[in-house]
Amino acid sequence: MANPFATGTELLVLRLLAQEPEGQYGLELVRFSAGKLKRNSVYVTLGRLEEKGFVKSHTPQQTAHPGLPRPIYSLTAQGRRALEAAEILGFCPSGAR
Amino acid sequence: MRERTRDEAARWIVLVDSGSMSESQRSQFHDWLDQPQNARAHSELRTLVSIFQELPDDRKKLLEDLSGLQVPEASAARKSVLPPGYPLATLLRFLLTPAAFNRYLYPVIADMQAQYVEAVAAGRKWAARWIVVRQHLGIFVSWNWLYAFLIREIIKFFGQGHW
Repeated sequence: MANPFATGTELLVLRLLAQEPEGQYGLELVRFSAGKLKRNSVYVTLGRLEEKGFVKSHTPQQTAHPGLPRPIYSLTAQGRRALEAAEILGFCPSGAR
Repeated sequence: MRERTRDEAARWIVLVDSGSMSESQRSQFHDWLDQPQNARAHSELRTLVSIFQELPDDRKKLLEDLSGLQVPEASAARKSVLPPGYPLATLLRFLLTPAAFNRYLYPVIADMQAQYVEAVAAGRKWAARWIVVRQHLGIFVSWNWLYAFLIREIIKFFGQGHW
């Protein structure tokens, strides 16, 4: 059976997001991926996952530092189900944990 | 907001505004701030404190008399750090569609600003400058789709006889 996701990177992002229900910044995903995600491409992956409805983002109105507030990404219920399905089917991204 | 998180946020705000943070405290503060729920709590309390600080003196005095609390003075150091990236954001916002900008480039610029401020706050000025240069280069070198988008828009513009 073909992998329902375009790349293993998307599964990796979903797994990392599943570990933190409160949501994470894009850079946190890069840090926790141990080099598997790059800072300039992580948002392309997150954008694709948002289009698929697996991930939602929320940008706070205020920021704790001067500058633009950073978006916080979290899994949607659909994303959680997709991740569970992928794990049951044995689609495992390399080095997700 | 959880009570514990709110209390921690209040303690950090007082410490940051005191201007007497040690390097280890600064590092602990940034570690604490990395958690989104902590960042949210800090942001909400910081907004509240800023509103109080911007009150006219007579109202501030009234508030202090009523509450018995002293409104802290605004931190000059905090206000003086204006991170770079706004011109880039303005340019890209103009060139790209709102959806493309908000989804792919806005977070990159916001990350750059956050990292820049953290580096400046830690006294690492050269690291802060490098973060800015690296991120600008990163955007213009690795975002191939951006060029494709721009070329397509230019062709469309000339194709429609706007010139």
